[in-house]
Amino acid sequence: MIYRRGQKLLVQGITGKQGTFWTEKMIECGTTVAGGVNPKRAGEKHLGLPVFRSAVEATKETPCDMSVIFIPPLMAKDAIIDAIDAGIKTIVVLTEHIPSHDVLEIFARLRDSDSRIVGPNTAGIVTPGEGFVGIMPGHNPSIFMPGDVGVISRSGSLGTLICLNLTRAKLPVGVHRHRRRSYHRHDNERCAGGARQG
Amino acid sequence: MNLEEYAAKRSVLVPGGVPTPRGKVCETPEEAAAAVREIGPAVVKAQVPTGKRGKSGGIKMADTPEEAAKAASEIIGMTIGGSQVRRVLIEERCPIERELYAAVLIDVVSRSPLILFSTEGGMDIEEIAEKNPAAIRRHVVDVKRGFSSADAAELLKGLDLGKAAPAVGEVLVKLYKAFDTNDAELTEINPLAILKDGRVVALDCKFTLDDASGVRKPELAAVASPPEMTALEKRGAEHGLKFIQLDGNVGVLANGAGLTMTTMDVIDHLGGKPANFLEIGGEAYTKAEVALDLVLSNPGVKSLVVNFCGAFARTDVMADGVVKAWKKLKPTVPVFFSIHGTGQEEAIKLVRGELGIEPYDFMEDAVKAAIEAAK
Repeated sequence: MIYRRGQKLLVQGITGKQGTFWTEKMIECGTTVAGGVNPKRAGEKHLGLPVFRSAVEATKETPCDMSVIFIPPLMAKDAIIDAIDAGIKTIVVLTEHIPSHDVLEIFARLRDSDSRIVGPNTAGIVTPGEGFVGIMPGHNPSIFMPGDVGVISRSGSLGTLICLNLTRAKLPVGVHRHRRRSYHRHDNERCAGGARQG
Repeated sequence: MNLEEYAAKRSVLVPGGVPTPRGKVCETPEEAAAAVREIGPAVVKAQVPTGKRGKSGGIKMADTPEEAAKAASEIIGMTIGGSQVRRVLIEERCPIERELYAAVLIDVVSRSPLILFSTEGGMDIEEIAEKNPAAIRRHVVDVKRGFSSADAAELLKGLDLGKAAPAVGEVLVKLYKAFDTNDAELTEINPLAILKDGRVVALDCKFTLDDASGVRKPELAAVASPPEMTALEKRGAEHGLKFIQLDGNVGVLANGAGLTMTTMDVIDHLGGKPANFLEIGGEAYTKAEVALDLVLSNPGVKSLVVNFCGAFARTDVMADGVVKAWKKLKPTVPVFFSIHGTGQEEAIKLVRGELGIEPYDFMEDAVKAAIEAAK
C-alpha cells in the first residue's frame, strides 16, 4: 500500500476539476501517472496523458500498480469494480459518501481478488521524496519529509498535523535525512454503519 | 435517517410482504376515536424515531373510541427521547402467544449484512445480549449469495418455534430483502409476534436509511423524521455545515472532523468545556465566514479557538473568511489562533495584520489561553 517512485498510477476521473488539479500536483511531486479514465473521452489526451474507456482497457496498454478514484459517490462502485477487474493491486478511493450497500458489494468483490482498497473517504497516501496519491499536500516539505516513521490516520487534517509535528520535531536535529520515512496514511476505512467519525 | 414506526411499516414492511397489524396514523384525538370505531380494541402508539416509548408512557391501550381520544390527547405533544410526538399509530390489538426479535444490520467487523434473531423478543437487543447472550443467533450474509429460505431454516434450527417456524423463516427472508433493496443501515422487528391464531406479525419496526443513499431513495428520505436540531444547528445545515451546539463556553472553529474533535478533546483535557462542534473541512473550507457567525451566535461562547491545519483546505482562504467575518460581526469575545499547513504564511500574516493577533505556534497554548479567557 506504500507508493514507490516509478510505480505507475491510473487516475479514474482524471478529466474532472479535482482530478485535473491533483493529477498535476501528483506529477509535480514525482508520481508516475500512466493515464486516466473517462469513458466519454476515451482516445483523447488530457494533461498530455492518454484517456481510456475503462481501467481494464488502460491496463491492457500499460499495467498499473495503483489507481486513484476521483469519481462521485453514486458512480464510484462501478469505477472501483472496473479497477478490481483490471487487476490493479492498490485502489485509493477518495470519494466520500458512497452508499453503504455499494461498499458492502465492493468489499465482497475484493475478497475474491488480489486488490485492496485504501479508503473509501481517504485523503490518500504520501511517500515523502517519492510521490503521493490522493489529495494531500505531499509536495509541501514543511509537512512531509523523508524519514523512517510511518503514520496511519483516520483523519485527513489530524494526520497532516501529526506529520507536520513530526517534521518540525526532526528538523532542528537534522537526522533522518538519508533515511526513508514513509508517511503513509489512510483515513476512515469505513465499511458503513458504526464508523462515522473521521 | 430514521423512519418512525408507521413509515417503516408502510414504506418498507408492507411492500416487502411482511405481515403487520391493521392500523391508522392519527394526528388528533378525533381521528384516534374514529380509528378505534373502525378497527376495534387497539394500541395507541406515539410515533417518534426512538425507542423506550412504552417506559415513557407513549403506548396506551384503548378499548373504546373515547379511550382512544383520551390516550391520543395525552400522547400527542409529549416529548420522548428529545423528540416531540406529533402523531400516534392506532393498531388493532393482537393476542400475543410469543415475542421474538429479528433484525438485519450492517456489521462493520465482517463488512457484511448481519442477521440477528432471538426468541427473547420484546426487550432491547442490548438487554438480551446482557441477560442471555446465548439466545441471540447470528448469520453473516454473503451479499453475492443473498439469504435464502434454506439459510433461514438453518438459522432457526433447533429453536422451539413449533408450527410457526416456516412463517418466521419467511419473515427473515423478506426482512433481508427489504434491507437489501432499501439501502438500509438497520431494519429491526421487535417484537416479531407469534399470535394465538398462529400468524406471525411485525408489531413494531425500526428502519434506518443510510444517509449516503437518501439521494437514490428519495421516497424513503421523504418520510424519514427530520433530525431534532437547535435553531443554530438548523442554520448550519442550511449552509451545508455540520454544527453541534454544546453547553461549554469555549467556541471551536477548525477544519476536518478529526482535528475538530482533537481540539475539543484538548479543551476538555486542559479543564475547559467546548461550546460546539463545527468543522469546515473538505469543500466547506471556503465557508469560514458563515461558520464564524454560527459559532459566535451561540450565547454560551466566552472565548474562541480557531485551529486550522491545511492540507486540501487552504488556511489562507479560511483565515481570510474569519478576518472578513470578524470585521463585519465585531465580536467582543477573545480569539486564539493556531494555523499550520497549506497557506500558513499568508494566513498568519493576515491574522496578524488585519486583527492584530499573534497566532500561537502550538494548539495546546492557544487552547490554554482560550480556557483562561473564558473563565
